[in-house]
Amino acid sequence: MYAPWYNSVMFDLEPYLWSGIAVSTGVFIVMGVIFHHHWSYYGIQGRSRASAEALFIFGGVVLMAAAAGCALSYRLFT
Amino acid sequence: MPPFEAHEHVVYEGRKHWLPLFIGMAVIVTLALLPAFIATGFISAGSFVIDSRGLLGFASLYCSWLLLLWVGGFRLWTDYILDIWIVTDHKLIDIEQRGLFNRHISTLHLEKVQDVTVEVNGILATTMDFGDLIVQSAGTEPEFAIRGIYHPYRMKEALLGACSHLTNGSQAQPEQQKPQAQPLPSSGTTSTLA
Repeated sequence: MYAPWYNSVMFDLEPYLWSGIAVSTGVFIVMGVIFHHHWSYYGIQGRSRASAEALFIFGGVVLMAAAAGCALSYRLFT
Repeated sequence: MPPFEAHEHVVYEGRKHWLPLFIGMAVIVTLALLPAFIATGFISAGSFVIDSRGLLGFASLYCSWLLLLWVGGFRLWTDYILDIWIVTDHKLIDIEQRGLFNRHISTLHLEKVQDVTVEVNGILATTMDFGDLIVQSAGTEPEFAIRGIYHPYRMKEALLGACSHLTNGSQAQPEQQKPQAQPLPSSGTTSTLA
């Protein structure tokens, strides 16, 4: 069975890709600020907080870069 | 920060059991894997014909989805880590984080503690060592309930230990301040009561 809507020639996903990246990056940044405030203000101490912040940023940046890289490749792919 | 006073020492810190956090994380992992499984299933069954460009588009959307779930996982962890019960040598402090912007802090002075009850109900709670700790108090709120705490018996022991330490300390203090009995004069006048 063939699903023509999934054929990239007939259906351009690009606006949805950038919208998805914009929404998820926005959520990541806003929540990152909130987490930083909560973790520091409500007293998650020293190494735990540093590890949590490093892990959060590292994972988020990797996923953002992957999403953007795939979207760019999608755009440039012929 | 917890409402500590000067010269107040933390005796015990209790947390919620990790089981609700584990279940939440399992849901997030399932949601993360679900699109990949569905897409693989449809493609392998021949329902979709997907070219390389389509695959890149799917990968980009999938990464955005994973980023949202990544944030959701940290939100769950934050909710777990900021729920804490602290027994100090003067107070019992209950800090409950309900969502990101709703924080509830209750404090009970140990002088007001009358009775401490631990309720562990069911096989799961018994085997995984979690339950409820109910403190009867003489304060404005007659009952101070701590739900779903990990190691409730340890918390109870710590609380009762701090209470008895405080009581013994307050009983011992007046004795120390009591003036020592003066020796009676060996000779001289006899005092009379007026």
